[in-house]
Amino acid sequence: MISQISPSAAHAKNRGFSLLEVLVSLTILMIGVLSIIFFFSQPLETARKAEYRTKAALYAQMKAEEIRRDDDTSNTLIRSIEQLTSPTASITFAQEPNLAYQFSGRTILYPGISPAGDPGVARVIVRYSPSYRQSTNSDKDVLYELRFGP
Amino acid sequence: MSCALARNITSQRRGVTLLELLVAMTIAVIIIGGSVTAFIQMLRAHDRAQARIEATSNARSALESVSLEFRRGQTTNPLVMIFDANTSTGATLPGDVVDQDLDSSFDEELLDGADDDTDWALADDRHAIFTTGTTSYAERPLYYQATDLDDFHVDIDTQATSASVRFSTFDVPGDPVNRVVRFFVGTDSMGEPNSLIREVTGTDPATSTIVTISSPIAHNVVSFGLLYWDQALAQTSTQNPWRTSWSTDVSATSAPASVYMTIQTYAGYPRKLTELVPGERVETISMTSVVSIESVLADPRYIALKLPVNPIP
Repeated sequence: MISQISPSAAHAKNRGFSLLEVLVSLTILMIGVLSIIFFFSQPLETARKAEYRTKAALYAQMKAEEIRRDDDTSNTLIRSIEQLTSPTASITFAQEPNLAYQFSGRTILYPGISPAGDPGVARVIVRYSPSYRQSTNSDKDVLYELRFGP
Repeated sequence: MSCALARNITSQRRGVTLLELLVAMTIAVIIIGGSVTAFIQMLRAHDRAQARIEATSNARSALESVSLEFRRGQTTNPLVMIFDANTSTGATLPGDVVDQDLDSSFDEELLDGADDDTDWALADDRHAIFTTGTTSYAERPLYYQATDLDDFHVDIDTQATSASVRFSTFDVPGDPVNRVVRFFVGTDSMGEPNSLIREVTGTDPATSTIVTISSPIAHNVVSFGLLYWDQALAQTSTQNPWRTSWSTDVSATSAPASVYMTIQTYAGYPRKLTELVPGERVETISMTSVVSIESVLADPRYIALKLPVNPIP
């Protein structure tokens, strides 16, 4: 009887999925969905970063112009910044609480690169403020570095 | 036998029950609905990010354009250095309706370099100290004692302002000579309101006629404010060195040493700036910078007013 199907064979055909199979497929699905969400959130993150970088450039210019304006005729302030071997304590910008500035005579962003990294040049360094973001390597928080002179 | 075969075929192709179909459809609808919702949310987030990027680049390019012209500003031409007062744009747009200084009121400050809402404390006075060897100097020495724009709680939660400024600059190749530049917020030639417009007036060297070239340098401008540094006031210990308006005859130096510029551009989505109702929260990008007028920094009248930089005791 070729048409005779044993009950066990019929059962095997309709047995459905095991819990393990369901779990595995759900995991794969979740990984896919999460990675899609992650990739879609990247533009937001990039936009925020771009905004902070733009602000960092403007605020660095602001700080440099203030020093130039307030300095005396022999440029005492700029000369003393040039001699700084480590950055001053970071101060949060009033206009943007997520950014902070420092002055230094040494580079952070361009070590070993001449002339961008030359020592003895006054710089404004703009970084994420510690309250916003603090990585273990604090040099990674630096967004912008502006050299200036009298 | 044929009957058994038919029955077997029927059982193999028996289809799905109504219950199975309903369950499957429900699950499918939940999954598809969730995905579509998430997708739409992502698209909206992307559009909002795009609006912020555009507003950011708008504000940045505007500030750079204004800075560039201020740097070129010149004082030897006796004709022009006129800065109109910042005027509040009033009830239509009080500001961004955000409480930046966390004092539970918003947009209560005027852009004037002073602490209008009286929430300034000595602890807000934050300045970098440069120590080399045994000598220390402070960024913007504290003996000015006046409030300044970088101190917290001063001009942070500002109302929307609309400034206009007019000044003469050094000549620029390709532009009319004896050029006078004017910046103001208005409607551009395409009928777009809330545009920051640069207007250059000067003499065309070829025809010797006065020409005016006008072009928008930023759109969706909520607020454009300027303050002018008066070194004569900075010499006194009690007065705020920032002026909200300036005309050529106000100061011995004839032009401000530096100009504080602030611009807010609308970053909301999807509604236009003109569709907002008064009092509504306005999503903005706010940018600030300070630019010095180089010819003033080199001017002996300004240098004569400079203060000595005293070491911190």
